[in-house]
Amino acid sequence: MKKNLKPSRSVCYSRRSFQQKSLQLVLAAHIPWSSFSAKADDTSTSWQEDTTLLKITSPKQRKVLVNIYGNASIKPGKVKLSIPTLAENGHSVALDAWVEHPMETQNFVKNLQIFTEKNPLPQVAKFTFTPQVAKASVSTRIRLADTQHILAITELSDGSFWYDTTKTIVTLAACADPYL
Amino acid sequence: MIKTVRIAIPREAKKGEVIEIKTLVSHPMESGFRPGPTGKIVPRNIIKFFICQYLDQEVFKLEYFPAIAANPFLRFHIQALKSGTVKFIWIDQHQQQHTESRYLTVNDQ
Repeated sequence: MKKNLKPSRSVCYSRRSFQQKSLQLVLAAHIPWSSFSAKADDTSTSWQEDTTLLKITSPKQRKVLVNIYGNASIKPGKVKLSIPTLAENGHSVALDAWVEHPMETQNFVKNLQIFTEKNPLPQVAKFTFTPQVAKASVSTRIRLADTQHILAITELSDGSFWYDTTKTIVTLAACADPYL
Repeated sequence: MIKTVRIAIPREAKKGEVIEIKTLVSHPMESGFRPGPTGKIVPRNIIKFFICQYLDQEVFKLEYFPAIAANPFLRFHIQALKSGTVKFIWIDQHQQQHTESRYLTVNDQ
């Protein structure tokens, strides 16, 4: 018991050990920061390392995404997807999607694709734009087989990819329904 | 087969104005995943492509998949540059085309 009450040696610093320790601390504080900022500049990370994208996609959907996008980097942002959070009928769910990007002759939105997580076919629609469209904003109605995540991925003319995702709860699924 | 098509497009527009176009097509868009009354799967029957041409140039294209709801509705935009026809083309999976066109008058002021 007595031993435990004694102040431990490491708490009492000599001048030299304090200098060494503080130097280590300063270095430790700097190294992770520099490596982090280097990572943020690196755009070549594959979308397959994006944890959010991995969480919201099914293996079947990932196969389709690999076929279309390969190992390209897909970042969150730019594209906006709007779907009601609760859809009573999976046969027809209103979908609004738009891309916040200028539509100029050299700098425009190339295409916008919609994917679902649990539908029998993951692809839903592919919108192809030209600068003449002037506003990359579309809406349509889609079928949903189940409560699931919906993913919108856009390709810009500079070759970058951006995504947005939402989750929709479906009370009446489109596929389980008998013939009407 | 597409029988009826409804297109909402303004007749006149100012130069440079971005106009909204809405289309509604009557089509079953049979997905090919649904059992019919006899228990057999109903064969797929969908529209594959929609193309919008303005001043004889393709400006907008949409590729449909079975997950698009029956009687597909679509809203999109084009920029009015000069007076001319806006052509709407639907192509179904049997390569049958349905074409509609509307005249758009563009005022310079």
